Amino acid sequence: MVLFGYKEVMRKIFLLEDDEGIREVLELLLTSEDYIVQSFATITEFRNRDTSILPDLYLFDVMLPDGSGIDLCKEMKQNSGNDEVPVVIMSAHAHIGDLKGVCEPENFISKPFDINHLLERIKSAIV
Amino acid sequence: MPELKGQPFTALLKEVWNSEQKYTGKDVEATLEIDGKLVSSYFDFVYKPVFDSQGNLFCILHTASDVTERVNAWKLVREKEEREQQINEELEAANEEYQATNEELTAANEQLSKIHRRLVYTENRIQQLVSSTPIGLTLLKGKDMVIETANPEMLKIWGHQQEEVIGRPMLEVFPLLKDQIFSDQLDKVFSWAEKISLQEVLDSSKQNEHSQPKYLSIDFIPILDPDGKVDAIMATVQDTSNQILAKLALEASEVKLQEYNEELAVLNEELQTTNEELSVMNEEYTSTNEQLEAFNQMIRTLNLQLEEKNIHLNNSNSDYKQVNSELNQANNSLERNNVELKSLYDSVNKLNIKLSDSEAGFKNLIAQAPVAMLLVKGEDFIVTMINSPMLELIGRDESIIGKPLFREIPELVGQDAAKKLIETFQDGHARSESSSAVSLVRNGELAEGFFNFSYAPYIEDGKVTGVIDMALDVTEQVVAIRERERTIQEKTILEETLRDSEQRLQGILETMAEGVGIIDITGQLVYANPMAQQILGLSLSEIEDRTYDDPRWQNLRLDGTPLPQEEHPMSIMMSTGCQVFDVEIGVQPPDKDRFYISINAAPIFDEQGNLTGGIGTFMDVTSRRLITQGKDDFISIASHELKTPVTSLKASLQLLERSHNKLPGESREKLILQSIRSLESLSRLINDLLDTSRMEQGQMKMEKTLFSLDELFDDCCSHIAQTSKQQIVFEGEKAQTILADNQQVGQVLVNFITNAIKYAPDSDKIIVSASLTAENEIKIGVKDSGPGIAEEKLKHLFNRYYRTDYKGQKFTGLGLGLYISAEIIKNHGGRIGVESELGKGSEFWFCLPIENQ
Repeated sequence: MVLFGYKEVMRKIFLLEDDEGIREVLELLLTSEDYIVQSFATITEFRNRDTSILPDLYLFDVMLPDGSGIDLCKEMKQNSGNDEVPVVIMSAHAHIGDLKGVCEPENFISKPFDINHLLERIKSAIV
Repeated sequence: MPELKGQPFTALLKEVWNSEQKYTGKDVEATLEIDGKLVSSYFDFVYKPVFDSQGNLFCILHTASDVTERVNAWKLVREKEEREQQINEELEAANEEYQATNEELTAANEQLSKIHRRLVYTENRIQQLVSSTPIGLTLLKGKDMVIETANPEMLKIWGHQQEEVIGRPMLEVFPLLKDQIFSDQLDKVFSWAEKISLQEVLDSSKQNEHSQPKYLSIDFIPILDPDGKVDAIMATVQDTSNQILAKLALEASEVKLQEYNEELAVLNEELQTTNEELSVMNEEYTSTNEQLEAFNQMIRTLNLQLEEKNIHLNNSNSDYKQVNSELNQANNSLERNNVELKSLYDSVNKLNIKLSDSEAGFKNLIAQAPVAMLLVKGEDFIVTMINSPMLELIGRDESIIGKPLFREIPELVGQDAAKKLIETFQDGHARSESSSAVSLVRNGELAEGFFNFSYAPYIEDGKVTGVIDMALDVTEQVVAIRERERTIQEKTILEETLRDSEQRLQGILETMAEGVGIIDITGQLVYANPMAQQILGLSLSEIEDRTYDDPRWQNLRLDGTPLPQEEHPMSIMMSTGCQVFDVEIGVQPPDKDRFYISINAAPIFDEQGNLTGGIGTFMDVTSRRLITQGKDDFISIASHELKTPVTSLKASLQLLERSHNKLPGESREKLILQSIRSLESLSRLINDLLDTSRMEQGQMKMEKTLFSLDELFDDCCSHIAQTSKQQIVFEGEKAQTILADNQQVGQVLVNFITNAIKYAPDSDKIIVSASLTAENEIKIGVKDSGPGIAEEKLKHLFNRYYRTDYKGQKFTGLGLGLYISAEIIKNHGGRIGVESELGKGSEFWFCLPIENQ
């Protein structure tokens, strides 16, 4: 993508969120912030992705219809191929902050979030 | 041919003629006249009918041949055969006879060999008999008496070996026999065949000085040959020495006996003579005695005469003696009187002394008695004697002596003790009383005391002159006894109260709705009431087998993790000695559902304040816990569900606000639409929550209007049908009108349809049907062809907060929709339900009454 005359490397985010509304808004938001977003509604769908592509960030919701984003985060962290890809967890359950020992996401965002706050977190996680 | 008459041929011809059948004869005898003689010959012949050209019998053709020779030859042969047969039979008969003879011979032979065997056996036996008999046996052959055999006994008698005697003549072996008489007699045995017996034959052949004489008893028995002639002699010899010797000895002793007898006879005779002499002497003595008796008689008579003369002399002397003795008697009696007077005086004196002694003794007795004693005399009951214990008892001094009792102690008058005293004086009967109450003035105060006392009449000259009063102060004992009785009574009452309260307590324990368990200091359970057993699902013995922290309880924290022993409320109570209130723990029995109990734990102390155990009261709070849990879960779900639309709404608005200029129009529109959807979703959730809250508080109001089902369907479903890819079909009693809250019933229908869309996304048709039931209801069903619902889940569907899942997939939502629907239909007096089959689909339905429209 060429923007204002110079070439920038596009960051890629894999978004896993079951609520259609949130998914749509996040797609719009992140795209407008020059991220490439690939979204999934369920874990099953996520597992069927093209694993040859490694994103720059995983953004996971927790309460998914076919499982938990935390379990998935743990799984991704244990998988050596993914260990360098940061994970950001978002959840409507505010008390999920203490995830120490269960999974170590690079960042945690509680719902409903502030979009500026969300973007900051994503940025810091990628760097 | 007249000779044929009487023969069968004419008849045979007739027969052939009639039957038209050919007849053939063979070897038939016919007698014919030939040359004037009747000759019998044999013929073979044929009568053959002959027919004309029309087939009618025309004639009989008779052909015959003479076969007489052939017949005769056959006869000869047959006769020969018969003869041979006869001869054969005869031969056979002869043969059979031989056979029979042969068999008889064989039988005879067998008989003979049997007899032979028996003979051999008999001989053998006889030989044994002969050889073992204790009698000597020998067989002498011929006139020379050659010894043929001799048995061992014989040889023993003879004293020879067998080979020394066998085959030798008898007399040569035993020459001593030669001279004996029986040698002649032996001849007789031979010549006359007589049996000879010789007894007591002295065998001198072997006699010497030392040996006993040997006597033999010999029998000679002739043995005859088959012709009846003597062939041999059998000699049997028996050694009878012993018998003979015994006999001789007997004879000898008999002779001796005879001799003794004779001697005795002589002695007898001598005795007889001596006896006779003695008799004569006796007679002489008798006569001498009689003479002596006569002399004696004479002397006695003389004596009597002398005595008579003496009596006379005595009489004259006695007169003098009488006067003298009379004087003497008078003197004696005077003297006796004197002595009597003296002794009378003495005894009076002694009595006097004794009397004064006894009075002093009596006084001493009273004075020194350890019990209080008092003697009152006369009708005024004058105090005559009183000892110090009695003085002390009545609180008086000795000045009372000699004064009337009741005047000195006026308080006694009318008291029971006084009455008894007076009665004793009157009737003379002793009385006694124990623990009798008497009031006496002591130290100026009237005080009640208790006494054991006895009244005895005082008797002088047989008359009651006073009363002796003995008294024992038992006030202290009585008081003590009364005290004790009172204590016992109090204790009895206390015990009853205690028992009552224990029973009451037991009753409370057994009927109370809380479980109660009591542990001892070791934590061992020692009691559990019935409710405890019920809650824990264990029998008393199972409970009493455990301590409160037994791992078998499987106690859990509320979050489901195992409860550490030190966190158990009973542990906390036992370690701190403080009461613990209302601590909830979970219990996971091995084969039952988990349950929750709330425990109060209180320590038990003994009198010294030492902890001796504890009492735990608990109740099953499973339902409370589950409700709380459900509420907690629900709040968590509700907040999550609320936050979801808020998140997208907030993000959309923020994004619009931040960069609405930069965003393309398309994106802006999307965001605005999304915001509206989020808000709608939010308000739906809020409505559901509000409805639930209203329903729980009974504030759900109905506004019934009359409307048709068609209207209802159009109102509700038009906007759903627009957004849904599934086809929604309405069929059945569309025109039916109902009286109900249009908005609420619509909510139920929408709920059913959105559920069908949500949970059965793959069914292409959702069918809404309306029908009338037999109970005058309108039934509205919503049917999908989705995956269906498992049976165990069906019963929970209409419960509050229930959210189903399918193949582990969770669905969003509060789980209130069906609950609210059920409440609405219930409020309308209708019924709600579901039919479902896995793999086939589900139909949710409700019925509303239409009767009162």
